[in-house]
Amino acid sequence: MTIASFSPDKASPQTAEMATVRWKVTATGGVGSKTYSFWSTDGQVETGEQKGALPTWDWSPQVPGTYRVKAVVRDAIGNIVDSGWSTDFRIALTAGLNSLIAVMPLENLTGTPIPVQEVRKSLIEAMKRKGFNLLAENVLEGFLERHRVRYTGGLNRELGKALREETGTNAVLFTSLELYDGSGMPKTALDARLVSTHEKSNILWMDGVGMAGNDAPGFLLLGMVDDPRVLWERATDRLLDSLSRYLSDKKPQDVRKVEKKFLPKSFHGKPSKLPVGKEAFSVAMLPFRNESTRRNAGEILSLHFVRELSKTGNIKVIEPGEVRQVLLRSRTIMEGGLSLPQADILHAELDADLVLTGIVTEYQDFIGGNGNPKVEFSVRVFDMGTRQIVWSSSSYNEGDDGVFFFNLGMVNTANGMASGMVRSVVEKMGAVLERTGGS
Amino acid sequence: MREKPKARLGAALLLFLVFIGCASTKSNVVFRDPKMDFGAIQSVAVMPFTNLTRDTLAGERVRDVFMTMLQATGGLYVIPPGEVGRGISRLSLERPAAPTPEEVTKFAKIVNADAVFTGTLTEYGEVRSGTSTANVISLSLQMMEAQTGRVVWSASSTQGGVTTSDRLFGGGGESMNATVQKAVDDLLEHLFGK
Repeated sequence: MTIASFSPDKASPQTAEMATVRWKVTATGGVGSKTYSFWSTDGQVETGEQKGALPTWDWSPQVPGTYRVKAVVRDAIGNIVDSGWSTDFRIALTAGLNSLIAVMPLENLTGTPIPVQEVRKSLIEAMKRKGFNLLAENVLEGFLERHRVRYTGGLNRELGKALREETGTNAVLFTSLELYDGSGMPKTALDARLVSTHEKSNILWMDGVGMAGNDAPGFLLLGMVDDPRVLWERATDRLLDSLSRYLSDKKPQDVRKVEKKFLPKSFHGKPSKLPVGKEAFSVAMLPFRNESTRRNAGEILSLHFVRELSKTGNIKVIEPGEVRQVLLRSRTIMEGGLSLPQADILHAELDADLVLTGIVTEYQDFIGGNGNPKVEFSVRVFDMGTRQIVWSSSSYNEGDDGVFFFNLGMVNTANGMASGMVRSVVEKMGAVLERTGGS
Repeated sequence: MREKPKARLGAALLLFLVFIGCASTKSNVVFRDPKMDFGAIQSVAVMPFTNLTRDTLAGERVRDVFMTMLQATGGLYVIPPGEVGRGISRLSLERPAAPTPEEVTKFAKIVNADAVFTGTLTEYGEVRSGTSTANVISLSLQMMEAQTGRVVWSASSTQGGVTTSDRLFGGGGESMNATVQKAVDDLLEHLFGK
């Protein structure tokens, strides 16, 4: 038995999260039916990708890098033949430093009126200073007007395609402002995500930052920040540095770890099987039901989950704009929570393996002076394979949890706390999925 | 010499009265049908709770905590709240918090549940005693079997309130969330017969 040919249908390089490369192996000779197995390596780890009677393998690489691929063929009496590793196949980033980025109007989730235009202007100026290639304002405005775009908190495929074709934009930056308080001790919190305009509207990068003027008072309170503009600049700088690192293909500098105090107070995880032919679970994130007194808390918390799930790298989060579009198109109203027929719609339209939803009962930031933020929420994850809940947890924390002396370890914003709590939930959830996902 | 025992008795009585007067409320009442095979129950639905408190969202909050903690025991599958909502809409239940046995059987068939929980929240929030304040919750639950709709288990729990230490040393007691978790924990312990 010999391998006559082993080749991809697309030449290197291709783009991560967008391209699907079909590898085909042709073996001649041998006895009886053959079994084909495909392997990939990134130079460090060899991964068995597919095994079965199919001589083709559809490869959808998610992570940029340089890969090699090989096929192993086995016949009915145990003869084995190996194609040997292919030449290097490069998977490039979907966006780089020169990519054209459209900065969408700011989504105000603070629940209070804020000078949105000014805030956005300062963000754009900061981006320009850092050398980002931005779509001209008048071009973006013209596009939004032409397509009558009213919702600027997410991107759907049709809109992404139109933006790419009409303006040449490679990616769209969505910024959601969660907190902007200039009274007393200044506080600010914002999330940003970069979404590809290519066919799948993938989330390329997402990060968030929450800061208060008294986060690090230091010796003789020299570290206090009293000016809200200074705090805003620091917050945007941190966020844009993270974006810049992503676009330069550098590893993220996220040093935040899971803190024990933020672990969910009760949780239950159940094994969930990764669908055949998929490399990662795809998750549709629904806005949380808001039962707190804070306006937009449902949207804020779901953004926290989108961010933390995206960072795991082994879970594909469906762009919230896509999810919203499907919910609107199917006229889904989730009174009392998500029902199974509604989850079926999301599964069919978005190919979602898991649907994440929940309730936020407390999302409290203190405005001005001193106080104690509180966050409480519960999460449920539907597995569309079994049509059952595979994860449920409830979390509750206050800013001074675990604080005993001199306010050491105090968290001053609900954003900071929610980030830690959501990270803990995602880590626990990820551990359950990882344990069972491959089986 | 004869005055001493009387004085001691008086002091002890005073101390006892102080403790009785200031102790936190904690009461439990449990009913369990001895003929019921609880091991056969695998999936349960939790109906919206009857909320007799001033906080309009308290019923939903406590129900959510109860559902999560019940699921977290790993012993039962809790039907998602959206599915419960769908069942209620399909049957057009007028009072989903207090369904009749016939309604329970019909509802359980729709959502595929082996048992249905209903609950009543009678106290939720802050109580004041003198200058001290603390959180308190009072919750009662019933479990109805899906086939007949009869009550097979019921229990109630009251947790929190102003304790002696709160009175003597100040402090606002535990957070509302911790108090709710204690009450639900207490009820789950009774449910699983620990």
